[in-house]
Amino acid sequence: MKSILFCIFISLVMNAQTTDTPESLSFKGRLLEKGTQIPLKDVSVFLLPLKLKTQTNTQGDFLFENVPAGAYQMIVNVSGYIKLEKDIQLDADLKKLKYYVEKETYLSFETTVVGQKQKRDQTQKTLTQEQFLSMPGSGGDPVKAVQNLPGVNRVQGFSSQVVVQGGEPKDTAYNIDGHNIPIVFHFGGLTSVVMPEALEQVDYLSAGYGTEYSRATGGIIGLNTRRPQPGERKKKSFFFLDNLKMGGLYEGNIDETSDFLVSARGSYVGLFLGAVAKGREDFNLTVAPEFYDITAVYNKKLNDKQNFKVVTLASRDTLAFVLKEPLKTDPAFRGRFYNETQFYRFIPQWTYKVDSETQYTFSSGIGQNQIVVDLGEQYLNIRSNVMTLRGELEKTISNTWVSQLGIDNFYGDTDVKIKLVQPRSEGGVSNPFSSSEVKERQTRGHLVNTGLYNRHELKWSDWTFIPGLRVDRFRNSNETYLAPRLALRYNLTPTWMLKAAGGRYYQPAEAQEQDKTFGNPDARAPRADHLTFGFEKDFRETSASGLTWQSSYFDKWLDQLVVASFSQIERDGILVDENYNNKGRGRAYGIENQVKWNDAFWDIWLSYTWSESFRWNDRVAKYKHQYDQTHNFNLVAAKKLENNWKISGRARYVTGNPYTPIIGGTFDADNDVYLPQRGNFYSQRYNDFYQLDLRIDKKWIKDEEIWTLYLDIQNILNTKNTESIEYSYDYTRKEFISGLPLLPAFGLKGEF
Amino acid sequence: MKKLNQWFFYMWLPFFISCADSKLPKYVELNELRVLSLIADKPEVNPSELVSITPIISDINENTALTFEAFGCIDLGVSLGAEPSCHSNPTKVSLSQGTITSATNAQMAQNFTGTAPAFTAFIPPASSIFSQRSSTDQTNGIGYLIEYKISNSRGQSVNTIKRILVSNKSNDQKNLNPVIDQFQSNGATIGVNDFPLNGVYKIALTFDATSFQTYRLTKDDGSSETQGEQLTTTWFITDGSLKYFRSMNQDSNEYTAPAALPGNRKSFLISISRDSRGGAVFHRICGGC
Repeated sequence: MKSILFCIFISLVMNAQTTDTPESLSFKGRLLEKGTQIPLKDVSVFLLPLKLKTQTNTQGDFLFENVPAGAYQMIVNVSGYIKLEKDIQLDADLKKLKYYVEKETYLSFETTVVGQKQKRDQTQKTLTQEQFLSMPGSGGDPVKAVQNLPGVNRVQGFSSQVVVQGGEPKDTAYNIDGHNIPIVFHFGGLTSVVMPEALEQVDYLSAGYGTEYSRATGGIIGLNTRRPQPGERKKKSFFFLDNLKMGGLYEGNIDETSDFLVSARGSYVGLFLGAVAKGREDFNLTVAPEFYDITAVYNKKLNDKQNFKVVTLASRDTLAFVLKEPLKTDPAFRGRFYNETQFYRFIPQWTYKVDSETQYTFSSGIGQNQIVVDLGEQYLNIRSNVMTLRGELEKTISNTWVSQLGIDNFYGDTDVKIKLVQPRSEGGVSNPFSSSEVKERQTRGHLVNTGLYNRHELKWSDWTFIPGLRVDRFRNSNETYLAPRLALRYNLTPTWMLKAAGGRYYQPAEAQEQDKTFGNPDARAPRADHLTFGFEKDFRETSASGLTWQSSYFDKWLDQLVVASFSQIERDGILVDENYNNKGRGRAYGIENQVKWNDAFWDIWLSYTWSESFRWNDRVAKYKHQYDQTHNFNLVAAKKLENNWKISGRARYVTGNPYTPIIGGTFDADNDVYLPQRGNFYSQRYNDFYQLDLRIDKKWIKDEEIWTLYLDIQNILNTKNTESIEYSYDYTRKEFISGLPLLPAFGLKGEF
Repeated sequence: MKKLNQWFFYMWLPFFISCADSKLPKYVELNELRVLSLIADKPEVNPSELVSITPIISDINENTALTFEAFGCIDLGVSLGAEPSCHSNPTKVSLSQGTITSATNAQMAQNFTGTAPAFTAFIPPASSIFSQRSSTDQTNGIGYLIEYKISNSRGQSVNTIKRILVSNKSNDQKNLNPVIDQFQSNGATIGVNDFPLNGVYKIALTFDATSFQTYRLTKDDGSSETQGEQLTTTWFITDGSLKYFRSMNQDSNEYTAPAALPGNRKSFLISISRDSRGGAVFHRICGGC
């Protein structure tokens, strides 16, 4: 009996083993971020109910081995993402699948950490792509977004130029990857000339900036292209459409070491303007305003030490119309008008990191600028072939000493054909073109500006000293200048930083200011001495959210400014028009403050600048400058909502800009216009400027695509801010002209 | 390039402003005290010549008198930005001054609209006006500035300048005033008192062929180029409306005339045609004269 029972037991056990033991399988998959398809690396993946755990590799791949076939639940729970719970039926037919994990929000608005992350130039403020793309009031434009930073003056009307700390628009230089570009906006302020999505960040350098840059007494706006990031699929694209333009970007992977990116944009605003202008009896729009730009980036990692990158940028604006009747305000405006502005740059960049102590960078910007203005009898045609060169050797001499030696050169070969009026423009008031003398010039010139700099960064305890020296040579005017600069940092605590910087800056006189017909060959480069000091405090300590605060005082003394002259001087025994001289002086100073708050839902930026700016010269006593804006208050706040909604707004208050009153007019009987009689320069102010902007963003996240829709409403309260004055023909009466009315803009973007 | 872009921005500005609706007084409408032109009998002269200048003025609301004074001085470069005045100019001379009444001047009897009393200016000698000036300047001409100030009894005043071009060109190459051949309304010549009424009229000026002069302009590099004159006509009205307020050469304009003349004053339709070198001609159609 015992043996029978034993046999039955053995039989049952054997049966159980043969019928219940499942097949052993592998379960593998790839974990990707939903929408962007970015591989999620080092993420734990759980398989229930077996309680198995594995981790993804750099490609996002995971693998469970020797798993019996059956029904399971896969769990992925990672910070910042919505928990993924996926039912899996594991059998022999199950292939490797992709699993998409959705981020909690796709609308992050990262606040730069100050006091912890050291910037090379401590005057630098940076806006990342994520920040400028969703900044309210700027329509996603990287350069317009800079206007939300402290120290940036508000410009009037349709212009979007960046005016730095009481300077002038021409005192700001625009670079792309360190190389000068002639214009940064289409049509003077419509939108910047580079596709925002092709940029990684925008850097803003103000008073006290380092020796790497020069030739701008105000500041530098640096646009930095990003490396292509085609992602796991080895290709990525998007298109966008807004009420002004449309375009697209494609980036792809060529091989393991090289990627590329190409983008193009074009406007269609001309279609609307063409329709509006159609049928007008006094105006015939022959070429609607159009612009396009192309940005391309190629990046190749040559080896572990060397990287090669090429950026190509091209931009073109065109507009033409015919005035059937001479303009009411100025009879010189009549007939045909044609304008074409274009430029391109080809910027190869090479980086060679020899070892942990030595690095070379070398880049060149090769291209052409062209501006054509055809006014019938008058014209302007300037074509320049340009080449810029930048090179730097960075050497880490010790743990506390890093040194850079660099060159920053500009070569230009320019053909100029010009026949234009040169109206008196002073105090912000221009004489009519009709009453101004037409001048003509045809010339070909070579412009050579060379710069050499040496910068050192020395650390001693909590102090950092950054002395630097720059030599600038402007060959055409035979000027050589030494520009010493010094910056200091003191880390009071890991989150408290005191800083100071100062130095001397030169900006070459504009070509026309030194031209013998339009200008004065003896005009020299304007000079500025900068001083700034302040602090940065990060109250967040080690937290990801909280408050940061930075404040600084700036002071700029301006000398040798090129100002218009209406005198005649004797040159070679003959009376000639002086046109310009270097008798301008100025000073601008102020206090900048920026407070930022960020947490899981809110991002708030508060910028406030108090400043004063003056100018004077040998003819005009000290006067408030055109961009003297006592108070400049800027509040940007964004609230992240559920389901990838975001609402953000911007509130601005700026003291009204000064303007020069016109106190009368003199009738020019030859030219049938009145010449304005200027009152005291900039002795009156426009009303203070108030504006509230609102922006709403919504994203729809699909597994392999993201759709974004935004509505950006400028001046939602329709505030009537005075931006200019229209005078009666004889200047005896005037009307104030308001700026932008309530202006909605929308955009749609699809990422694939 | 940065400054050029700025220049270009300002160049468009008046165009966009001019597109806006404005409640400011219109240039073409004669109402307050205006100087419409100063016409020299010789717009381009040799040094030491005598020039006669006739002011064209309008002040339809005036009923007593206008006072004026005129000065002359060497132009220090108004077209380059110098102040448009002889005040504090070391070469300033007084040319004329006086009072204009409807009794003393026939044209002023027509609501103070028309030609005011002429005055003369003696151009300085070459030793003065050509002193230290380049040969190019002497050939193209140096301006002799005429400043004319006129005031009415209501406290309004207008300051006006005009340049007499002084050059060493031969007399047959000097600029002359354009000459009107006909003033046409709907294709037919009309007289100076045939004021159009109650309808839309196509108005035009025809000019004598000599009005469109060709001339040579010397450039800074010593070369020269031939240019042709373009005439720009500015229209002024007291009543009705105009399609354009300026027209080019012999292009026509459209005048919507009033149904009837006003009972308390005369009506005017005036044209001033300029050759952009200082030459000008005036024509007046008067209703009720």
